[in-house]
Amino acid sequence: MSIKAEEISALIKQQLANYHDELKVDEVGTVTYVGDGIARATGLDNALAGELLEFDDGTLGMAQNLESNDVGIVILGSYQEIREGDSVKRTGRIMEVPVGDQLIGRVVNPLGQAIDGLGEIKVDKTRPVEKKAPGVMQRKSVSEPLQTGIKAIDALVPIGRGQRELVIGDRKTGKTSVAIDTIINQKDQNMICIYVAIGQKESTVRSQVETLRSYGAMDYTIVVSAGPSSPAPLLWLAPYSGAAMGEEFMYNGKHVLIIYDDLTKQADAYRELSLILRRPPGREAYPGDVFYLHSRLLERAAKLSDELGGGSMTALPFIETKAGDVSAYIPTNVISITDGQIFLDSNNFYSGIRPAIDAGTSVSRVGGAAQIKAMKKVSGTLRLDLASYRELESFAQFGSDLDAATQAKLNRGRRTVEVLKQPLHEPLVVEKQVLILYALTHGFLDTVPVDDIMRYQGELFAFFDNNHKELLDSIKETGVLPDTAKLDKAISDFAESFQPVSTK
Amino acid sequence: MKLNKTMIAHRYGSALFELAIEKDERQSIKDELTELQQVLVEEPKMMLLLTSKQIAKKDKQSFIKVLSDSASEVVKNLLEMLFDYDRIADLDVIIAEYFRLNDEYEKTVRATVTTAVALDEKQKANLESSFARVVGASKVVLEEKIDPDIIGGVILKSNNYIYDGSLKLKFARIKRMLLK
Ligand SMILES: Nc1ncnc2c1ncn2[C@@H]1O[C@H](COP(=O)(O)OP(=O)(O)O)[C@@H](O)[C@H]1O
Ligand SMILES: [Mg+2]
Repeated sequence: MSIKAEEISALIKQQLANYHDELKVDEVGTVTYVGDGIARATGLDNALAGELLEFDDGTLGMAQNLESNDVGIVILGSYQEIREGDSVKRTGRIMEVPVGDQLIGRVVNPLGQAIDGLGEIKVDKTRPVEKKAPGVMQRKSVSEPLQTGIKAIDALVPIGRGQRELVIGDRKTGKTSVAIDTIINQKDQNMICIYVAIGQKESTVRSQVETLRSYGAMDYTIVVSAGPSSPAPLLWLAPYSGAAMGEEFMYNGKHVLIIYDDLTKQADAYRELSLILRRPPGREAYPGDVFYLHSRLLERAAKLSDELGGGSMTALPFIETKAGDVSAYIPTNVISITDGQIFLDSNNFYSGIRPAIDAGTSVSRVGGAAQIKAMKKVSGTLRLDLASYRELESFAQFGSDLDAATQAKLNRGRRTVEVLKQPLHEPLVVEKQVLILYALTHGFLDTVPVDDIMRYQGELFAFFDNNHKELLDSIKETGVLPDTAKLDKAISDFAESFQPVSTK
Repeated sequence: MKLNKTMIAHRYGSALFELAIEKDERQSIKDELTELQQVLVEEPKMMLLLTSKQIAKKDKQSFIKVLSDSASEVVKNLLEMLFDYDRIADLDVIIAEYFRLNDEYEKTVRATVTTAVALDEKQKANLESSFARVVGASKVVLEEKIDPDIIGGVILKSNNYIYDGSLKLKFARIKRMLLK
């Protein structure tokens, strides 16, 4: 007995003829494992990494680990209905989210589905969630300012359109408040805002949306939220979805501000996912590619060249630290990717310095180029003033005799700290920021008691609104300081009428 | 732990080869496997079907039957066992492993020889015998390749070794020397 290839081939051919239909649908696999937001399936030999897959009940998944025998799938949505033995279909598409104007004013989940109870969102366009960031030639350097309306930020760590500025601090140091106030300040600034809430309590997100709505800020804002009870894959996906929604506007020549609040939770979700997918854990149990997770996301922020319409996407990633430790794995990663960081210090926060920005460790590496001239002028010495104040402050605690120069420095420093304080939801237009900082740096506040400074500021603004609108307008329109003689005169006029109540 | 394809190939391949030696059927099994390999190449859809999750086991078995009907006992058992253990997809690598072991047994070395122009029979025989001497093989099987780019000389590639005697390489060396 022996095998003859020709004969057997002929026989096989005959038998195969009966199976033509079944062989064509071989793009279906079988689920062999479900749990913790992931599934494994065999039979999807041709699936591509990142491809969208569909389960029997319509739930979507994303192919992640392509292994010799099976495929690891991240389930996007609930996995209660998926059973071992179910089939899972290839779709040939990669993950996309709905994009476009229709999303503005809405609260959506990372799949772009409405979760605000205002009905389905009808869009006619989608974009892939993962997209290669614009290359060198497609970009332009950052040149226009993004006004946050927060004095301490606009003066000390200015942000330009297209920049990536990290906001970092412990829990409850006012990070989210910076986000909300910055969004509120984008009214009439020709800016579309996207607030990506990752793992934030539903109730918190809800009250933030209410706040935004009451200030009219939902008119130009999209909120993408993946709550703490969402499966890990959705938390991981949320920033990418937000970025895709932002890109649609950016590539159409518009300006976008996107806030990722916060990437620590995204990294944790990704760690969870990776461990369940049995990827080898590395430092702090994060998978080896956790740096790439954030770098490829943040690279998508850009200021596009004029040929591409000159749109921009400014990214404010947030990182939550533990006990101010910025040298943990995720914080150091993100610090190295971004163009600077705003460090919110819990000691500042609890001693009443709010926003709790730490001037010593906060920097913006590119934003200076985007600051208006007038602001550059008045804020030039602030950082130094604050630094020498901090240094002298510790000496001054010993009481004793201080010479006049030291006294003056302490005086100025105390007032600088006071001027940079700002209540919630009261962002300031840039011309008013310039005005109060001008008054500060030109010594007009040196004789005002510290406790009266907030009131002084309010009354000064009102005085200018009523009597010297033209000076404010000229800062706004030209970007430079008006005739300083006129400005000095106006401030002096006001100072004469100001009644201090405090004695300190 | 999951076995990867190379490990599976090695385990099944060497077991099969040892059995073949024991039964003194080394050559006949080799011939059968050659035919089997040809079927796999000619009918790629068959393997697709055998590994598909949607085809009933009974239907798959009928294919195994066609394959094994005229086979010797050893090959027949091999096919049935692979099918039962869900390893039929690895048939091709198991066959390849058998061939490799057989070459080792026969002290046969396979090599590709690249020349700028085709070798004549005498040159080829010379090359075979001298190469066999160098590597200590009793037989050398040469696969010829023509590549005018090498200008002249010979390149011999075998297992993980390369013997490059091409003019192209020599010219490159001279050039590097002159430039130094
Ligand atoms: N500039 C501010 N002035 C007064 N209260 C503030 C200020 N910024 C934040 N807060 C208060 O601090 C609390 C924590 O702020 P939040 O932004 O939620 O911190 P985080 O996001 O860092 O956890 C909130 O209750 C908020 O009202
Ligand atoms: Mg927060």
